[in-house]
Amino acid sequence: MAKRTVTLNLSDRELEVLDELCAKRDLTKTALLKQALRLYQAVNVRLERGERLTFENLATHEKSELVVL
Amino acid sequence: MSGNTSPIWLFDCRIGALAPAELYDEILPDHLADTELLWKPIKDRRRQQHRHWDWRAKLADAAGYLFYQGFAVVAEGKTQGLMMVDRSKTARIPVQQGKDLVYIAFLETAPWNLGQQRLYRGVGTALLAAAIQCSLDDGFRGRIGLHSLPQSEDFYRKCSMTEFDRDPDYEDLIYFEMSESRAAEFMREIGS
Repeated sequence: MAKRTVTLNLSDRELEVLDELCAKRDLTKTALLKQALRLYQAVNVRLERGERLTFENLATHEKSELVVL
Repeated sequence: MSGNTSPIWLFDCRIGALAPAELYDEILPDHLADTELLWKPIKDRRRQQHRHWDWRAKLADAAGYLFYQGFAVVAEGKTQGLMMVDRSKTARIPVQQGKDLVYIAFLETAPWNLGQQRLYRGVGTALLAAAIQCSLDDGFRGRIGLHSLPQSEDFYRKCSMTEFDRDPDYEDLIYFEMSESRAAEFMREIGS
């Protein structure tokens, strides 16, 4: 599969978060951003089908909807 | 057929020697046609555990999602095996718990590659190696996992994958996972 390199402009805070997530998930920046893109795309496909994205607190079973604009 | 291919080797049981084959990094219409025209009649006759698997439907469900990727093994112009991986899951082995892995959602070898009279040996191994390579390419360090049908459990045990209890959340199938270190060993063992 052909691959292309892109330049990404991030603020210091965004880069800091990216570094934190990479360390936490044991992923390179490229790997983490690819996973983020896959997740964002999957969420969009489901929202476009008319589904909702909700989180459930496993202890209280309280559910909250994540509104994706 | 089109698509990206890599040369691989399978063991041709008829001649007792290695034979060339191709690994595709996507599942193409010709592969689906083989499952319907060539695989299905044999699977129905043998009443295999996964005879209901419909690859066309599986591919349609996964279409458009970047999380999913299909693979196919072809030899002699016929599809010898198919695999669908999902990159949305995380690991369960304590040392890698919560880390991303390549989850093998479906892996199937052609029905003529099962049993004593099989034509080719090594299709499952080639697809497992493709999943590990996919995991390495995606930055997941070789971590892979899967739920096994009962008929395939011994194969994954022979691959020295870590075996978990039956999973009540997944049709009571046994969950197997390969650690980063085992994946590296596995690739060395098969010469990849």
